[in-house]
Amino acid sequence: MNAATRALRSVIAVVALVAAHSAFAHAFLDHADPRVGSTVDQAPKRVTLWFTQELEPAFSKVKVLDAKGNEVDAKDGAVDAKDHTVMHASVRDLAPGKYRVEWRVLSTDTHVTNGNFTFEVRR
Amino acid sequence: MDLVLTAVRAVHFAACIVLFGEYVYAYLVSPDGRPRPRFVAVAAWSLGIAVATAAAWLAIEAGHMSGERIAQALGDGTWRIVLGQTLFGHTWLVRAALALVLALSLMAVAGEDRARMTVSPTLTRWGGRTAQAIGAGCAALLLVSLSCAGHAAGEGARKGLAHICVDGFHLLAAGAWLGALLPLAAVLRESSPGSLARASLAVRRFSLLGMACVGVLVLSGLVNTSFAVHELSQLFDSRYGNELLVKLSLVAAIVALAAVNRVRLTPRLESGDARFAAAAQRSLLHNALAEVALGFAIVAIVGNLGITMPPMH
Repeated sequence: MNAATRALRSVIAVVALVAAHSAFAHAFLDHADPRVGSTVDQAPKRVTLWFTQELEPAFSKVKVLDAKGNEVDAKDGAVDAKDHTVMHASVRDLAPGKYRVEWRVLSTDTHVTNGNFTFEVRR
Repeated sequence: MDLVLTAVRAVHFAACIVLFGEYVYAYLVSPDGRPRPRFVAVAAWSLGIAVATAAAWLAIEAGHMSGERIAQALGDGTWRIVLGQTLFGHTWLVRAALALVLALSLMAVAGEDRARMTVSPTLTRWGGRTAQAIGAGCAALLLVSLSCAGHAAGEGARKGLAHICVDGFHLLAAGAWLGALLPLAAVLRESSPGSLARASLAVRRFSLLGMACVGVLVLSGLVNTSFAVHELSQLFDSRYGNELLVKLSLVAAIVALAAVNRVRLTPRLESGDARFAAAAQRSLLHNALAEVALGFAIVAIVGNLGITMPPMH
């Protein structure tokens, strides 16, 4: 093995070691229905959130709050049984106004993330 | 708390690597094909530290996952939910079983010499080798299974499984390389008659192992690259990237030392000139210890990288 080959091998090993630990990720909100920041004409029956990673159902929560901070969902916010990247929360008879969706989720790689977004019901 | 988790993770990784390295040395590096004399003691201590840090890691995760204080998470049974209902917990249960089997195998190996005095030597030797092989398998799985408790586990089923497998090979290669260095250093410290020949054989075998490990590290690293690396510029403009660069520098230093060992010192050790060979043996020992220090510094960085937000987000 000549010096150039050894040097190349060393460089590749270094790049490989870096790459091997660059695959870190957390679960973040990908999109939602109603859409983040949107205004909808009809009150939704449920709020759905899609995340970038699979979630742990036991430690993932979502709730919907009205403008006064009261929880208005059916307290059934949970990870979808079939698709662990999705969460649902049922809501009923939402009056016109602004609503805030708060989530705190645990991805299967043990990272906790949280966030919130709002949507508005026009009528 | 992040600092504590970093320390716990780093010590746990290190203990698993040392444990696995003892078996790798026994099977692939040892001049006489046997574990080194202090094998059982080192393996038992490593296993004990691995178990203790795994328990601490579980307690910290229970608090972290639930958002409670650790004491509360332990008191109200949250830790049971973690064990029973999360991938991390399931991984920990499997690893606990592996640790138990490994402990029993070590007891069997430790009892081999005593049993040989009263039972059939052939039977006890066979039993000891079987126990050692079982222990080696458990030690490898203990190390590999760490990939199920890391970031690779956060991806979807197919991609996640592939990523876990690649990470597992990466851990095995890194663990074999770094873990076998400690017993190799012990051989290089020997100065008894015949130690030079033993050291020469061990160094040659370790060199082959090292090259194989580098090959696996390269392949697994490149595959991992296809999973996740987006832009190299992210290495420079984030805390995460900066930590990676520090790690990169340490890896470069280790590879440089390994190259010196391979190209300059190993031929001198095998030269047949006693004076040259003795000096080369001392230099190889110093380099091996330096590589161990650098390697565990990398493990400490990896302990923190696992809980640091990557720049791609």
